[in-house]
Order: sequence, then C-alpha cells, then structure tokens
Amino acid sequence: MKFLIVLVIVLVIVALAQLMKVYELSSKLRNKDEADVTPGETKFNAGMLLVFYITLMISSTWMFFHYGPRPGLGVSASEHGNDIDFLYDANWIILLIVFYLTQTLLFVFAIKYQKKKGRKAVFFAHSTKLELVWTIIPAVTLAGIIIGGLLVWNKITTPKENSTVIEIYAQQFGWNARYAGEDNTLGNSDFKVIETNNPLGVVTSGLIDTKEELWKEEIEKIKKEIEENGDLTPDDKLAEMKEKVERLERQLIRLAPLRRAQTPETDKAANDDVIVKELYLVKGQDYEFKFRSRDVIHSALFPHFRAQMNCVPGMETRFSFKPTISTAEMRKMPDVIAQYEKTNEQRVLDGKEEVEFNYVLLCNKICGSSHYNMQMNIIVVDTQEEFDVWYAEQKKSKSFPVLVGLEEPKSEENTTEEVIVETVVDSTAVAIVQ
Amino acid sequence: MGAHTHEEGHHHHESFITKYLFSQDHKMISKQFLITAMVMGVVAVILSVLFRMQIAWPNEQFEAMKFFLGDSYLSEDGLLKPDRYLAIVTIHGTIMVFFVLTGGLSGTFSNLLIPLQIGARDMASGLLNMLSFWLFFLSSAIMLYSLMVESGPASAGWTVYPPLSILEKAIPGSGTGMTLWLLSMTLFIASSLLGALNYIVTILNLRTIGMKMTRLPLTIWAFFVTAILGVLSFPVLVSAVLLLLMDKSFGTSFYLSDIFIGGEALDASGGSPILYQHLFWFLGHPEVYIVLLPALGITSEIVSTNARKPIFGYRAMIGSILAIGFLSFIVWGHHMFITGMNPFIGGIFVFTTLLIAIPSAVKAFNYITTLWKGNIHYTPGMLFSIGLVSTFITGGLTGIILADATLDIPVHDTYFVVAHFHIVMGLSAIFGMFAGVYHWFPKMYGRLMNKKLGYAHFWMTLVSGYGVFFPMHFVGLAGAPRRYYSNTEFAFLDHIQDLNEVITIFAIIGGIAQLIFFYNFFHSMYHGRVTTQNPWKSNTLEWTTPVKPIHGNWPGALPVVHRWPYDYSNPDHEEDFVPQNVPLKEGEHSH
Repeated sequence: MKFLIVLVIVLVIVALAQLMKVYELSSKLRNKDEADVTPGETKFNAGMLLVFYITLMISSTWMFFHYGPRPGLGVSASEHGNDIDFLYDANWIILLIVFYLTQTLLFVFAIKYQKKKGRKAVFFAHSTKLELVWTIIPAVTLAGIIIGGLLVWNKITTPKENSTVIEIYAQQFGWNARYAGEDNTLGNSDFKVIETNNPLGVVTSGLIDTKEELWKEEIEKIKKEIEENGDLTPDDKLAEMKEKVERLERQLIRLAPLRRAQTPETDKAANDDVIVKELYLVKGQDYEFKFRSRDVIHSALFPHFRAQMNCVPGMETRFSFKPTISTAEMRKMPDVIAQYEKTNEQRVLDGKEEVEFNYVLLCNKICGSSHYNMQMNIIVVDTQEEFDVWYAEQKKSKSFPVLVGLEEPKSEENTTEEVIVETVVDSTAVAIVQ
Repeated sequence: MGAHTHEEGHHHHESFITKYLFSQDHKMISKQFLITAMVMGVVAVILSVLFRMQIAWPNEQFEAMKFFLGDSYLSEDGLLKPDRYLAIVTIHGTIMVFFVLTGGLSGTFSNLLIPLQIGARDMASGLLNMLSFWLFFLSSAIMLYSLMVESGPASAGWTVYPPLSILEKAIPGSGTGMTLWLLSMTLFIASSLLGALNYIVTILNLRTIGMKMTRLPLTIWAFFVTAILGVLSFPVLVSAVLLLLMDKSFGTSFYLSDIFIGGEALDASGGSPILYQHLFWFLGHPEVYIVLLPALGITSEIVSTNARKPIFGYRAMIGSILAIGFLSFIVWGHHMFITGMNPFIGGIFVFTTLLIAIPSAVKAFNYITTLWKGNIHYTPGMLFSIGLVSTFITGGLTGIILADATLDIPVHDTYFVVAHFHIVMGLSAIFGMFAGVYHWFPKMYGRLMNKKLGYAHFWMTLVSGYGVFFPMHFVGLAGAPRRYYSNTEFAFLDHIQDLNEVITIFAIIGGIAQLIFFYNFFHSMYHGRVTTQNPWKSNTLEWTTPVKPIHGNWPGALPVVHRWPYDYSNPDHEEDFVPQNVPLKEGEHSH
C-alpha cells in the first residue's frame, strides 16, 4: 500500500516534469510578452480564485460543524472548564464572522476588479473616516474579548478555600502523584534524596540521618581504599574515586539546609503522604495541584478538564480545578459512547485492543524520546466513600511505599539502608521503564 | 560614493571570485542569500515530509525511507527513530524560522531593494554586507553539518528550552548536535546584526535627493523597522545562547536547578529554566515580526503595483508597521502563560498582545481596500500577495485565541499553535517571499520567470498550504500535543487520525509544488524571456536602472525623486503609473 503511494508520488513528479517541458516549449513558440497578463490568464485565475474562495468557505464551514470547537473532548469535566468553553464559543462566533467577512471582501474584490481593457483604477489613496472605522471597530471588539478573557482568567487563577492538595511530579517519562494525607499538607521534598523507593525525594529527619550515615560510610570506605591500594590503582580509576568522594562530600554539605528546614511538623506532614501512579479524584471536590519536575520541563495537560500547567525543575507551579463529571457518568454520555464505538471499530480492524473512555493526563512539553507516551490515568469517582476504599488500599499497598519504615525509623532503618545501596544505580533504569 | 562609480562598474573586469564569491555588490549578495536560503528550504521541506509521514502512518515502514536513509542514524527499517523524529522537527523549525524566513527573506530583499529603491549606489558598507552573507553561509553549513552528527542534531525543539537542551542524558541530541546548533546560531546572529546595522544606516543616510522618509516605498519602511527589531532583539538571543553554552560546557547553572537525572543529583542549583524562556521570547516574539514585516512590505508594493492603485492609507500603513514593531517588544509573555507566571502579569500580556491585533487589522483592511475598484493584473507575484493577505487574516484570527491566557490553557503547545503560526508566519512570510521573487526576478537576472509555471506553483502551494494547516487547528482543538512521535498511545486521539493523513497528503503535494518553482527559477535564470526595463509598469526607482545590472546601479547621476511611490492611475496623468523620478506637473501636488 505504502509502496503504491511512493510510486504514485514518483509518477506525479515525472508527469510534472513532462508538463513543464510542454509549457516551456509552447510559451517559446508563441513569443509573447511574459510580463503582460493575457485575457485568458486573467479569466483562468479569476475562475480559480472563485473556486478557491467557494471551496475555502464550504470546507471551513463543514469542518467547524463537523469537528466543533473541541472535537472528541465532549463537555468540560471541570467547573472552570465550562467558563472556558463558553468563552471559546463566544470568541469563535466573533472570529468566524470576521473570517467570513474579510475573506469574502478580499476574494470578491480580487475577482471583481480583474484587469479589463480600458479600465482605469480609481485613485483612492486614503480616507480618514474609513481608517478610523477599522481602527475603532477592532479596538472595541478586542476590548470585549480582553475583558471577557481576563474575568475568567482571574476566576481560574484565584485559589479556592478547602482545596485538597495533590502534588503531580513529572520525570522522563512518567508521572507520580502524591496525596497530602489527612493533614492536607505535603511533607518537604528535595531532589537530592531521590531514589527508587523515594521517587519524589520526600524528606524526613530520619531519612536525612540515614543518608548522612550512609554517605559518610561510603566516603570512609573509598578513602580507605585509596589509602591502601592507591598506588596500584590506574590513574583514571583513582581520579574517578576521588571525584566520587568529592561529590559525596558536597552532597553531605548540601544536606545541611534540608535538615534545617525539617521540624516535627514537616516530618508529620511527610509521613502521611501517599504516592500513587494513578490519580483518583472525587466529583465536586476542589483540588489544588502542585507541579514539580525532577529533570526537564514537562507540562501536565488534562484535556478533558481544560487544565494545563508546566512542571519546571527547581520551582513549584500550581493549578486548581474541581471535577464535575465522574468517569462513570462520562462513559454514559451519548456522544462519548458514539465516539468510542467508532474508535473501537477502527481499533478492531487495526488489530488493537478495545478501549473505554478514560480521563488522562499527558505530557505536553517536549521532554525526550518517549515524550509521546508519558501519561497517567485519572479516575473521577462519584462519592468520597469510593475514594476512601481506594485510598486505604493505596496506603496499605507496598508497591509505592512512602519511605518504607521511616514512620518507625529505629526498627526498619537497616532494611531501608540496604534497599538504598541496591537501588541507587537502578533508578534510571526504572525511570526509563516507567 | 560619487558619480564616478558607474564608470568603474562598466569597465572594471572582475575575477570570478570577486564577482560571484566575495562580492560586495548588494545585488549579488542578495542572490547569494536567496539561493542559500532556497537550499536550506529544500532541506527543511524534506524533513517536514519525513516527520509528517510518521505522524500520519505511525510505525509504518516506508520503502522510500528505507531506500534513501537505510539503516542509518536517522531511521531503522524505514522507520524514523523517536529521538531522531524530535531532531528533525527541531532542525525543520530552526531552518525555516531563521535561515529561510529571516536570513532568506530579509537578506534577499533588504539587500536587493534598499539601495535600488532609495536611489543609492550600494549599501553603506559593502564589506560588512559581504561578511554578513559569509557568516550566514557558514552558520547554514554548520547547521546542515549538525544533521550528520552521530549522536544527532539538536533535538529539544527549535526553541531549545533548557534543561532538555543542556542535558545530554535527557536526549542525545543535546550533546555535539546542540553545541553545533549554538555555534551556528551565534554566527547567524552576528550575520543578522551586521546586515541590520547596514540596512538602518543605508536607509537613514543614503537616500537620494527628494527621497524623504514619507516618500519611501512601504517595502523600505518594513525593512527599516525589521532591521531595528533585529538590532534590539537579537543581542538578547546571543546572551541567552551564550548562557546556555556556559551551562552546557562550563558547569554554570544559569538555567539549571534541582535536577536529578541518570541516577544522580546534579550540583547545579539556583538557576531557572524560565529565565531562558524570558530571554528567548524577548527575541522570539519580535522575531515573528522580523519574519512577517518584510513579507508585508513586499505585499504592499506588489498589491499596489498590480491593482494599479495607490496603496490605501500610506501613512496608516507606516503607523501600523511602527506600532507592530513597538508592541512586539512587550508581548513575549504570551508564550509563557502556563509556565506558572504570576496571573497578574499574565493579564498584562493578554492586554498588550491583543493590542497588536489593531494595527494588524488596519493593515488587512487597507490591503483589501487597495483592491477595491482597482484594475488587477494577476501576475504570479500578485496572486501570492493576495494569498498572503488571506493567510494573514486566517492566521491572525486564531492568534486572538492564543493571546487570551484563558483560551490558551487547553490549546497551549498543541497542534492548534502549530497551525496558527504556520499560517500567519510560515505561509504568509513564504508567500511574501515567493511574491518578491516573481516580482523582482527581472531585477536580479534581467529575465522574467515563466508565468504559467508561476500559476501552477501558486495554486498548488495555496491549496496545499490551506490543506495542511487549516485541518490542523482541529487536531489541536482535539487536544493533540505537538512534537509527539505518534498519537497511537492515546485512544482519545484516534478519531483525528484521518485528519492527520489528509494533512500529510497535502504536505507531500505542497512539497512537490515547490519543484515547479525550482525548475522555473533556475530555468528562467538562463532561458527566461529577457525583460524590458519596467515590466510591471511600476513607480519605484529600481525600475529606472538598466536591464542589465551594473555596479553603482545607475549609469550617470542618481535619480532625483519628486513624488511618492504610489501614483498609480493618478487622474492628472495619461498613463496609469508615474515613476517617482517624474517631476510634478505644474499645479500638481506631491502626495
């Protein structure tokens, strides 16, 4: 099939080359003034302008009706999204009127005033009145657009009271979410203590102790090694070891500010945090999302909720929204059913598995080779009870333990240590798999 | 320069090297810019067809790709590799924005037209002008070379946002490829600055007698403001690029902070990736107008000439060029609405950005009014200019959506943005460029391009241009992010796949259409019909020079200007055009 397409392309090229030759020969034969547009050419181009204009009007109208302003996304699943959708509709009406009006004027004039023998153009160089008209009308229209936009913008960006805090943490090429727990406060976090078991680098006093001890031990170990076998080690290896010692020493120094920031309250805030790979939200609840990234800039796009915010390493960004339609309700909407029936029909033909509607969070800022597949499922449940069941499960589950054992630092410190040693190197591999 | 220059021009025989390579003649330099840009354009178009094929038929192995690229560093079994997909997207964007539409457009037409239309023998400094071209050439060569690097060319998108563009561990293209990109861009900026300074000085100082600023053709006004924008904004990009280079190679952290990658925490701290975005877009937004204004200037000239009517609202046109130029410096934040910027500042950028729509609307209406009751000659240049007005309107309107922070949230960085800027800046600017080539080809080579081929080229380009970028809006509105290797991982995007196929088919047709142009261009260079002195019956001074271009442009004294450039169909005159050097009749007022 694709080979045929390529073949067709090649043939088209050949045909065009031949056509060019014919054109060239014929124009040479006729020996006419190349600069002067002949009546035949005028007629041809006027006809083409008309055909193009009509096609443009019909196809753009068809596309606007067929696809609409948010093809396949359906009604907004968030409260503020309804305002955005309304604003879109209002703006589209204005823009479409201007589009049809100006394109019509342009093409009609371009066709109507085509070159005619004996016609002399009207000498009409300026008119202050007209120019004022098309300065003031756009200005007034734009004032309306600006005011409408800013009203909604201010509404969206004003934080709500009683929002549940959730952190969205991005990395190449996946997402983690951290629930703030009963206190609705996130514990401190820092990229320097990230490891497989602690993908977000949540900080507790216990963890700092563990890290400090571990790094000190390692420094000692390498130093001893250098002292004992330094003479026998090849130079490059030695340099590597020395560099590692320096790096660890630097890291130790950089732990100090973390410790200073740590209080019993932040420890408590951290210990009830829950990290998950799937986002559960309750319908009708206000959420405040805090976004961070560990490596490059990512962007969290929630297309169905009309929400988006960049995740920037080194800073925290925020976006708040309130989901208003649960996943189950969305799946029952007629247009969603229709769309997914069609989608699944095609998927079956393509030998792909069938899907159901799901809210999704995707990465929308170029972040590397798997940028196109960086996603997290979002499930909006109808009631707090449903959420609680899931949340309790997540808390118990050890698949994404929050700082295993740090709640009781004394008894489980050893296991933590072992895990750290094993996995420090592994975290990239894990990141890639994710 | 005095009146003796022309004699040198006539009798002085130059070697091949001084005539064709290290020429200081603005007309030759203009052709050098044009042809370099055309070569770069071909590369960029081929790249775009490659990645469009991947988007339309994801994970499909193409015989053609296998045949041409083989199992190379770009593709495997006729399938593009994901990180190389990003690489070619990046290089496509870089080449198109900087090398074709900035270097190519300004370099070609500012060089060709500024001395010819203001009545000067040459640019203020021929040497700087020559250097400008050769720096451009060198930077083009480096950019092309970066495509061949084993680890791939720069891959972080044409905006090369850090940290992705700095960290080789994040994407392989951020290694050697990125260093070459930075090097190439630094040379490019140096080239642009030399060019721009030269244009400004030439326009201010070398206008012939009677060529008041208010008698300049709108092309020159556009080039003038473009050059000023370049001089003010490109240095900021240099600083952004140098800081990026230092972060990359010398361990500083201007743009880096809190990064954990490849299993270790980097030492970098205290920098901000957002700082780069501010610096980049402080250039980046004026850059849009650096690309667009010359195209609009060219259009003003061509529309007026071929409608045989004065451009409507000459002073308003100048005013809007100046207003657009000024406003373009205070709107860059609209590229950053969702970087977490203070919502209040976001609001201010909404306001300033939407203000630009006013002078833009004035320009669009003035073009339309210029056509009204004209006597329109459908030359290929004129058709491309009409096409430009159409795409300028279409693309400008979707800009109103993107300028509104609220409406930007769901479509930011989706294909809606891609559609918007490709129509308003890509298509419009390239249409302006084509219009200019068809219109001033006689001034470059003393011959005319074939008109019939020009029509075929125009209609195929217009149809495929709209065919590619109009449906693309809906891909974006459906929530499809740009720079995705494929949309197959998200079932909610399945339903727009057929649109993607349509887009790609139009892209291939559009690419093929450019072959017609190339054939026409190179064929006409040698075999085109020899032109008369003023083939379009135009008013501006370049048409008073001899058909065969000479050094110093005019044999004998420089022309003296008596009137504005748009005396078309002036009722006081028999002919429907009155060149600028024709003295006023008794009782006639200069416009």
